[in-house]
Amino acid sequence: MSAMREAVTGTYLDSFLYTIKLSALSALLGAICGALLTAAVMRVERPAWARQVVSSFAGVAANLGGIPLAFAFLATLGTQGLVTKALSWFGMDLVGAGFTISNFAGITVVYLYFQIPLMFLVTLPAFEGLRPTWREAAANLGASPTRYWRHVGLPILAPSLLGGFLLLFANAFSAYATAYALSSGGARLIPVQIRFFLQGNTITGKDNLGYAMAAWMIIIMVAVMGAYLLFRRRSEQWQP
Amino acid sequence: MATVISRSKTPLWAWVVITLAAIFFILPMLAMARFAFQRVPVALLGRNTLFDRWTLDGLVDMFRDPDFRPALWLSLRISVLTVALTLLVMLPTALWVNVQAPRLRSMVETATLLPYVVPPIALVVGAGGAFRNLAPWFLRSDYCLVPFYAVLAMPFTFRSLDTGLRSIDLKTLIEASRSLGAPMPTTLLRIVVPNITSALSGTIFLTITVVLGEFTIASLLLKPTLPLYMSYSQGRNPQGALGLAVLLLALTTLLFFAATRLRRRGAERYTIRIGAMP
Amino acid sequence: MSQSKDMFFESVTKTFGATVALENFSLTVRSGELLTLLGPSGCGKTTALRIAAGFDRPDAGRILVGAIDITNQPAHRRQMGMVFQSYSLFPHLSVIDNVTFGLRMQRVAPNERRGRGLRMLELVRMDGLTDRLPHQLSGGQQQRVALARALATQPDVLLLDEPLSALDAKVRAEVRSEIRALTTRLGTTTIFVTHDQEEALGISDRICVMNRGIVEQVGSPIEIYDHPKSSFVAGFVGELNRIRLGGVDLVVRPEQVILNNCHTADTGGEIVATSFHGSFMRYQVRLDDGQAVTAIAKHTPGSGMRAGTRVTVKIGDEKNERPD
Repeated sequence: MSAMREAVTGTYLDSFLYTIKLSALSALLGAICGALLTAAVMRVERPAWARQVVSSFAGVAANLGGIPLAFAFLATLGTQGLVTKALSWFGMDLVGAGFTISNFAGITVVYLYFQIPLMFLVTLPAFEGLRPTWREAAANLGASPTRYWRHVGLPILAPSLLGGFLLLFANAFSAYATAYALSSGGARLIPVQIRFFLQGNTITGKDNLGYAMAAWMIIIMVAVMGAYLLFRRRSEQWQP
Repeated sequence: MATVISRSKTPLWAWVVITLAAIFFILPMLAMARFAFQRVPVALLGRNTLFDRWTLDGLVDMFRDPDFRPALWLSLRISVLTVALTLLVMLPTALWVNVQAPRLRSMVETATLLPYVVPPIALVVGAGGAFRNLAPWFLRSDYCLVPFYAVLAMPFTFRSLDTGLRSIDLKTLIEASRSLGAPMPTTLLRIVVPNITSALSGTIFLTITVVLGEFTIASLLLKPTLPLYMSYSQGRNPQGALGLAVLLLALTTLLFFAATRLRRRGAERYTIRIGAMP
Repeated sequence: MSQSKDMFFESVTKTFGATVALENFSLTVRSGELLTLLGPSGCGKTTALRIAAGFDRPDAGRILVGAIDITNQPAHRRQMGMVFQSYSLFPHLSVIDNVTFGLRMQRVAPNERRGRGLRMLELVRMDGLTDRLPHQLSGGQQQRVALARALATQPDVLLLDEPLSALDAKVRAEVRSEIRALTTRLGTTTIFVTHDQEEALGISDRICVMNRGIVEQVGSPIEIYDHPKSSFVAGFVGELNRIRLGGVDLVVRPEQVILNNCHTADTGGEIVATSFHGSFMRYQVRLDDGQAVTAIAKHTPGSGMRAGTRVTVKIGDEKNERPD
């Protein structure tokens, strides 16, 4: 039991808070951007293949991670990145502004690369389930497009969107290969620490601490998934 | 006249969002491709050097590396087996949920999110501990990755199959087929499967992308898969490794898209829209 | 209740790609009447309704309510109430919240809103289920709530898009008479779209028969049935026999055909099939010269004839209209 307590004190507690913060922020931004993207793609009827391209790419990008993704962003926004360089031509200094691909903000941006596509994949069925007659009925009763979204569209989608957010949170929490490849900052992430203690090829003598951290992580994830299940049930009421 | 498709134009904001997303998603891939295929440091990149020294040498070197092919073949074999295992387990599960237990759908769907709940490290350590005692031969085999990957792909594969099955009137199809005298296996193969080809191809491709992208478990179990090979050869031949990453991404997206297009064309002939049902 | 208004379609044309949905469509809907747009699928009736509601824009022509041109008004600024074929209740709102949605959009105070909503629900006999969610209601109940929702804002015109076609026969008749009673009571100008001629004949003040985007005939149900202006109308509204008797071409309704049992076997024909409909009997007869005739006869105990019976065929006294 002492290991369970030790796992949430001092620097380990900081690690948990850091991981939760990173997961929450990247999930929030990913959910908002992903929902916006889904709504935008839903409005594209021509060309007919456009939605298919986005879906296909999303399926691939949602599974992207580790060294390739880390490197793609280093080559884009790193100190020697393409965009960093292009911006410096226009007199903008990204690094001077405090942005580094390996700090908290940087990792968050990189995470969005798989978070947004995941949100798209998860919420597309819900958006497709919005019936055109609901929009028409709302307009018919005097609701402008904005008020349709406020009173009808968003409330109907809310359980799916919240469920998507929780899924993104869990996704960010357990994904670490990317952060690990990006910087030493990734070493603060809980999954990386668990790996450090449990890997087995180094003798840390702290196996118990690793198991305790894994247990805490599972507790957090079970809570998140419980909430997800609740939202899922609610949205199912009107999406049989 | 029951369904009149509204022919509203795509609004401006939608194009803005899509354009911004395209930039965000394509730029990093372009930057990585440039690094892989152009031997000019970013610092020296300018108007005069933009078209200098583009080359496929890195990629060619990688293809010539004796370790490359075994890694590729291993990943492909694991892909095929994982797809087989996934279909064997998830298709009956999704069918069962849709025909027998629609009330349990949200439960089952949440259960498929297991890989998010249990960190991969814990999964490997837990399963590893169990197998080391019970069946030590299992972890020695390269194919021990297959069940792990099937579990890892579960959140995607179940959703894809379930969405496909929900979009057809499965119960009626099965009852009609059985009342015409078809046994259950025939019903599944000749009636159900042809109606969910899109979901099936989606499932297959999502499974393959998981296998071709997974690094953590392979590295923990020390299996020489393609992602692991790419990460190791990064030190020796970074351009080759990243060129391969770009190539794989482009290829899987294209194949994925081609598969969905193919069945779209087929499916549109059959699809009957009923009323204004979504 | 609100002052009902006339509504006008003036030379409205609408095409979707290569198909012409409405061609130079002109129609006046009189204040307080229930007018039905009747026609086969693809005749443009739904398009006309959607243009009235503002969901589709006409390529040419105008829409007026009273003296006001609303052609370019967006849907949410129009005073139209609409009931859809598919139950289009908002799934996340209770029955009362659905009914008062329009009032909420007009920023009516919550108390007044609820009062008016409850009165509407009483009118459709749904006041016992105010707090249910739509998925807890049957189809007929949902459609009644949809009707109450469309009428709650006291619209200038009520638009009904095949509101009964998703219901089963018994509920359909019930909701149909409810719609009729309610619109008469409130005096709301109503446009009802259907492909079902029986429904149209039963519910309407006037019927506008449409075919391929144009108006074939406008008139009261009796006019349409008894004096069809074109063979299309005659064929679409009610059943029709086209036969040649004694060198004259005739167009005859089945109920005008009188069959008599005949034993001499010289004139007429033979019954090939019968079907029983409760209050009446339906006979398929093959005349000796090969022509087919359908006849309908009132059913009284012991009056039925069997297939195979030889009959004489006579046309009733009523004047036989010959359209074309």
